This record gives sequence, C-alpha cells and structure tokens, in this order.
Amino acid sequence: MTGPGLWPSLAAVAGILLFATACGGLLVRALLPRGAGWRIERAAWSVAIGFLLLAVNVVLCFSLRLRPGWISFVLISAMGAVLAHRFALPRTDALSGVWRRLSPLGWILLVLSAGGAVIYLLWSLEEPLASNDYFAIWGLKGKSLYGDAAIPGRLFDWPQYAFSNPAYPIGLPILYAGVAFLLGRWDDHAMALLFPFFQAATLLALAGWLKRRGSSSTIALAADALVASFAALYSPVMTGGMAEVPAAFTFLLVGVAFCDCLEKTDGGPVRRLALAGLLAAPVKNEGVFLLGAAFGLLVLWSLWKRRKLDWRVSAALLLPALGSYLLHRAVLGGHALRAFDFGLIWKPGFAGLLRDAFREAFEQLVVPFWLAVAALLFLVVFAGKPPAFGFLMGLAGASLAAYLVLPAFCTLGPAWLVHWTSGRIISALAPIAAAGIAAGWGFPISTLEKVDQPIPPGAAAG
Amino acid sequence: MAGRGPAFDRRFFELVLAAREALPPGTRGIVLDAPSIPEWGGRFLAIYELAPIPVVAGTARPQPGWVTLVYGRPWPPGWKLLRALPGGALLTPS
Repeated sequence: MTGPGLWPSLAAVAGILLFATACGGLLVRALLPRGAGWRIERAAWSVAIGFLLLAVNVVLCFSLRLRPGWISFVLISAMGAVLAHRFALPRTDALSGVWRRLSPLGWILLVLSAGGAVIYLLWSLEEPLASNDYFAIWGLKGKSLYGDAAIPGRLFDWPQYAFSNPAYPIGLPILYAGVAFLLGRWDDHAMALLFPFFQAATLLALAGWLKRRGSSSTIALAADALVASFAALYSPVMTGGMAEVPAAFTFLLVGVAFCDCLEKTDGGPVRRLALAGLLAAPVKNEGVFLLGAAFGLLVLWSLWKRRKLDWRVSAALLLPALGSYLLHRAVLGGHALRAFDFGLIWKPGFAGLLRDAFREAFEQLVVPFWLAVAALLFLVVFAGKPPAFGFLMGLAGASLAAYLVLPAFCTLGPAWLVHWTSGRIISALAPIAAAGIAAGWGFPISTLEKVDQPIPPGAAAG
Repeated sequence: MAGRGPAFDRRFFELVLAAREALPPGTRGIVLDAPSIPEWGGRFLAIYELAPIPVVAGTARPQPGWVTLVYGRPWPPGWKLLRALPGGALLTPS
C-alpha cells in the first residue's frame, strides 16, 4: 500500500511501539514492584504489556464491532492504568539487581550485546517482511484482519486458504493489525521494526532477571551477548515476520516468572506468570505446550516437596493455555494441524518414523553445528544446579523433546519437518535455555544471600 | 515488491501490482489463473499482496462480483475483457 515513504513510516511505527511501551509502563506496577534492582525487568515487561494492549485494542473493538484506533487504545490503556494503580505491588528492593560498575569484561560483553541488537535492527530494516511463511500465514492473516476490520472467516473456513494454517493461533496477526490500525495503513516494511523490539525486550528481560536473582553482571551480560548474536533466531532470513522471535520472548517470560513463583521471590510472580501465559499461548501452539509442561513440572515439584499444589500458579498456567485453545475453537472453529497425523502413533511403523525423526535431527541439526552443540552440552553439564536451573532447563528440555518427536507425526515425512521447521522452533528456546544455563553458572547457592547485601556507596540505581 | 525476490518471474508480479490498481470498484474476490506460478514464493506472495481481497487460485468460473486475473496464457474465448494488463488481463464471464 502506498504511504509517506520508508523513514516517516519507520518513525511512526517506532513512535507507536514506544507509546505502547510507555502505556505498558503505567501498568507494570501491578506486576513488578518499584524499588532498587527492578528497573531493567520493568522495561522488558512494559514492552510485553504494551504489545498486549495493542492486541487487546483489536480484540475488544472487533468484539464490539468497532474499528480499532487511537481513542480506543488510549481508553483501554487508561483503564488498565487505573486498575494497575489499584492493584500496585508494594515497593520492594532487590539489591542484587542493582548494577554496579562494570568490569572490562563486562563492558566487552555489553558492547557485544548491543552490537548484536544493532546488527539485527539494521538487518531487519533492510527489506520488508519477506519470508514465505509470513506471506502465507502471519502476514496474510494480519493484513486481512486490518483490511476487513474484522476476523475474516474465509481464512479459517475456506479450503482454498488451508495453506495459511487455520489451526495456528492468531496472536501475532492481531498484533500486526493492532500496529496497522494505529498507523492508519498496512506497511510491512516499517512493521519489521517489531522484531528488533522483541529482541531488545528479550535481552532486557534476560539480563534484568539474572542480575536480580543474584548472578553477576558478567554472567548476565554474557547470556545477553550469546542470545543477541544467535543468528539462527535473530535473522530476518530465517524467522522474519514469523512467530519464533515473539515466541522466544514469551517463552522466556513464562520461564522466569515460573521460577519466581516456585521460589516465591516477591509479591508479583503469579501475576507475571499469568500475563506471560496470556502472551505465550496465542502466539504459537508451542506456547500452549510450554504452559502445559510448566504445569507438569509444578506437579512434580509439589510431589517432591510434599506440598499442596499451588492453585494460583496452576491457574496462571492453565487458564491462559485452555482459554487460548478454547477461544480459538469457539471463534475460529476447530482445525486439525496440517501435515500432522497423531494417529500414526498406533500404526506398526511408528517406531521407524521416530527413528527417522531422530536421525534427521541428528544429521541436519547436530552434525553441522557439532561444535556449538558440544559447547552447549559442556555448559549444561558443568553448570551448578540451583532450582532455577532445573525449572528452566526442565521447560526447555520438555519442549525440545516434543519438537524432536513431532517430525515422526508429519505426513510429509520427518525429513521435511526437520528441514523446514524444527531448527527454527528449537532456536526459539535459546533465551529460556540461556537463562537456565546462566542461572546454573551465576546464581548463588541460596539467592537470599545476595538479596540482603547493602548497596555499596556510589552504586547506580538499578 | 522491493526486496521480495520475485525475480524468478518479474512479469507476474508486475501484473499483480498492476491488477491491484486496476480492480473494478466493489470487486469481491479474484480467481488467480496462473498455473505456471509455484505456490511458495509466488502464488502466496500474490495472494498476500492482493489481500484483503479474497483470492482463490485456479480456473474456476468466478462468482458474481469476482473477477479472474489470468497470466501466462491466452484467456478463454467468450470472456469479457475488463482490463488488459502487462502479461495478462482482468476478465469476467460475459
């Protein structure tokens, strides 16, 4: 569609995303307390809430048969801010989250992290969103939502549109439409800016959480530097316009909020987990799986600790997952996943398919990257084992296992799915796995040891 | 289309862009008759570019209010030419 040119459009989309983040910043007080050591995480969660507000603007207006716009967005944000003020968390200092002066290595890692983010930003803005999956699935749905100012039934009912995978959740297309409604036009070049935003928020959430929970600045920045330069995920060629980059952000938020819930770090983790679930489930079906896996871990943890199952944490995990699934079925209809036949598990040749799936994964994903895989295994095996390591690696490991088994159910054959999809979705586990590994290398035996340390003179406010 | 690599058949994408501007007012859908164009990288890009107007690939006779966008072959006799475009045409059953 015609517009005022790339640079004004980019500035406009950047303004929309920053304004949405600022609105998220008004609501974040209900999720994370004010106080020393929380600032970086509050920034990351503000981005998450801002994106949620953009999506809620679309969903609420569609349900009222209104066209989403600035007035509805500001009204929804204002109502959210009032509610957040009413339910604001009390001030809590997390002194371990205060960033002190960086060591030379810390500066190098900070530069590497920022460099990765800048390269991804420039790379993303080089061309419009242009992956095949973007055209066929995510972009088509978003552009149709915006163009029709409603959910277009044809994308979910017509067999001619089966290629756009009607079983996929539509959170990302709704977010695209939310930006377009505020921009006043569909601009898939300026929209590419969403992805560096997702990456920046992921890096802030990762470093902020690691630091608050007791790791050193060096470990937190090392995790950021590794994730920022992970081109299998942060590459417009591999994942441009698709759901992996947003999913990676939401997976990380689910993981860290889940850890905080089980370790009862402050007054807000259950709320954060519920919000992370609300973001993760509608982005990708794998988000629903992650929430289910977290519930499984919660049950195991409760049995091991001989505690009653925490119903609040259970609800924060299960309600977004079930809600997203049931809402999709109720509004858009029930659709089988294309190219999958889960009935294959009962067929006599399934063991062979499973063997093929593992062999393909080994040949396509392990052999070419054996050095990186070996380094990863080293980091996992020799890491310390604080609870957060177990929780996060448990979530990442359960997801990885599912992604490796899934090709056995693909009707186009395991090799096809491994080639086209498995590596991409596995890469979305990078931030949550990085958080787990960094927790293993960086967390003290008891996180409480660092929380009680006084702030040294001259320390920067966190 | 800048940066989207439709170079494998540039004329097709020029046709899609031209058709988007040339659609009769009130067009309710498009039948895309372009059998030589592959789905991935070609047909899906065209469907995306023409969205939110519904696009169905194939040779089916268009419903009332729909038009056919034909590419890469002579259009069938007896159809009404709405607009001749570079590389193809917009047609409707006469």
